[in-house]
Amino acid sequence: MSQKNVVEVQNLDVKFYTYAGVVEALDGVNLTLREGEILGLVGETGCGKSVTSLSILMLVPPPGRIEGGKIRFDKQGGADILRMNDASLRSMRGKDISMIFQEPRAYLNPVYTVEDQISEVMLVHRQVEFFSKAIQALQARKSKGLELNVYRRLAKNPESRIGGFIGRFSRKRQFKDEVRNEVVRVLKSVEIPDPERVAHMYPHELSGGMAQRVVIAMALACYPTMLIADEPTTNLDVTVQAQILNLVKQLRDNFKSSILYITHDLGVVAQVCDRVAVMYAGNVVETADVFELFGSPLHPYTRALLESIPRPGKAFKSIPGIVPSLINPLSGCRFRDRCPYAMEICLKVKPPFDEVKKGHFAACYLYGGS
Amino acid sequence: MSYLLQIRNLKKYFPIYGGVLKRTVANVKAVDGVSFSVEKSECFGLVGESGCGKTTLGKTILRLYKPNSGHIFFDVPQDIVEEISTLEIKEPKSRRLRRFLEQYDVSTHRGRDLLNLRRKMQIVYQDPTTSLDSRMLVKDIVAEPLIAQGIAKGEEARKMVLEILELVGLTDRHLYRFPHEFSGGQRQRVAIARALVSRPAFVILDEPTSAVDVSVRAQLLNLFQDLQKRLGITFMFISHDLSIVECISHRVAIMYLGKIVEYSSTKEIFHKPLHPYSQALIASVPVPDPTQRKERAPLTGEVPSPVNPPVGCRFHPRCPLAMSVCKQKEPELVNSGNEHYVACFAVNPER
Repeated sequence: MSQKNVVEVQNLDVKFYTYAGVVEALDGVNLTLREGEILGLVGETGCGKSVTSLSILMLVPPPGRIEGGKIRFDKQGGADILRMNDASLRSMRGKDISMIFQEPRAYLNPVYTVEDQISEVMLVHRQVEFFSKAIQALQARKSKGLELNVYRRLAKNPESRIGGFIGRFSRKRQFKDEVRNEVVRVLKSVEIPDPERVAHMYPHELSGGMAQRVVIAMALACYPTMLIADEPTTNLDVTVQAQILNLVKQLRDNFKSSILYITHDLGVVAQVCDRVAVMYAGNVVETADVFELFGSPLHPYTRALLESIPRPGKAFKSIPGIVPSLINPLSGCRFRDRCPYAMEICLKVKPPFDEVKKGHFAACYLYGGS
Repeated sequence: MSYLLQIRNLKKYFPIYGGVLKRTVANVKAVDGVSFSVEKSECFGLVGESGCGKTTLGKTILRLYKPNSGHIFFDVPQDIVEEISTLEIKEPKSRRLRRFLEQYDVSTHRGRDLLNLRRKMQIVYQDPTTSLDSRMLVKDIVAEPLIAQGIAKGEEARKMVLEILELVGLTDRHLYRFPHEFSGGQRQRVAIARALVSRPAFVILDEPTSAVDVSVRAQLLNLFQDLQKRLGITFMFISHDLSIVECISHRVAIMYLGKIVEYSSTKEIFHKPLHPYSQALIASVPVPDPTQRKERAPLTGEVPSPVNPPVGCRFHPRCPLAMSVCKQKEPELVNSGNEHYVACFAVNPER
């Protein structure tokens, strides 16, 4: 696997200015996603997994604000996503980085068909490509006339006023056919049976697993370099979950996309991810290769998390205490009040995120750093 | 071994109305001929995919739904149950059988009989945010079953509420709080306290841990085990999370499209599953160990609609072992030795 970094998140700070106080949702998050890997982002509810992914797309909703840090994106020449203007952000979202959300039903528009919704993404980013495809098809059939002219104008400049005006009167049949073919092809690539029929369906006609596949198809419509999957299988049954997990692995192999996989299920992480980042209360506390993390976890929180997996024949182990509020969070290490190894220094200074072994980072004083 | 609850051929259909006259055009066969028995003081796990009728079965047992047919015997001596079943075959129209059913079968109970039953059977729902009234104080929420049942009121009820709150790990500090002031795990504890305050013998836990985090989940599961040891309550644990069921249940039933396809002790089910659906279900669970990766999904397709379930064995369209007999006849639950019941022609060839 190549070592090229697709996305580098450096010292990201995000705060939410609520009436109850300032929520320090992310506090110096560091994360790198390499080319062609599946990075698992694990943590409990409210630890900042989703906020991290939303910051990468610059979609943090108000009252949240990104206060500092850098997100380097390789595809745009190492540009900082946090400093991009709206136009380049828009051209990036859905094309270079796309996202799969947790609840497919909430994400699909109930009044449009599957085809309408998938083609929308394509028409935003790949319009010119479809025009030139349509021109080729028409030329191959040796047809002349209005339709071909319209396409030629629009292919040169999609914003063309004359092209757009005449285009309103021609039916653009060939263009629509090209788009439909592409939609069917994408649906096929996510293993939807009978894609021609499904393309004409409305979201309510789809089962949970199918709806999730459609959302994945939508995210893949423009061959993104990076895919963010925010708990895509949480509401699905185990048998369907197994199917979707296989699909995610195939996507990585076929499209060479890098995938940021957010989940709280350690079983899923063990099954699909190459590397894992563990988050706790707005910090990334440990990053390692998946075999390394499950084999020899370093951070006390990771260890406790792994021990809380129910195993038959053993008593259930839980982590004492509760997830702390992020309004006025603890000074120093945020895990210290639940940590069995808490020391004097944990109280004062936030532990640095150091490389303990090769490729194994942890933020804990147990492993040096003072 | 004495049984607390015995279910015989229970059916619950939900009608679909259609046409101008709004007549019944079809039925959603949510629970379609289910039989099993729950022993005293055990934890009985019920597993299945969403939409297979787990929750409907639970609610029908509690008589929150009226079953279309079938019998529910709750705390009935074994000889009476046996006599009823022999009477049903020999003299299905006798007055003696009718009197027996009116007296013992929960599915025929009405009015006061049903009210008395509520004291002995309770349920804890999946999501405590929606199952607790957001405008009531914890002391009122937990005391409500006592007042509704006429068990206690006033100072006496308060004492019982405190006692039960301490049992589930809350204190008197929590009495004057509203549900929104609690964390998810504590809120579920309030719901558990409400279910236990009338000292029921049987509690249905309907996915009680799916709304909470991994670390809190372990606390709740410990609480259930602890309560069972201390109070000797019989639990029916409904869940789709097989790893939890494996750890907490003594016996497990696996449900598919309104039918139980296999039931046995937890060990048998998880180490020696016989039904192809159980095998696929257990193989689908993601193992939290990266050295044991699965390369292929064990099952393709999705659960068919319960309105028109497949003829014959309901699993045959997805089954890797499907034979011609599976498309025509419905397999019955047969004991294949060691109290291991399976409904499959591949395991129990038809004689």
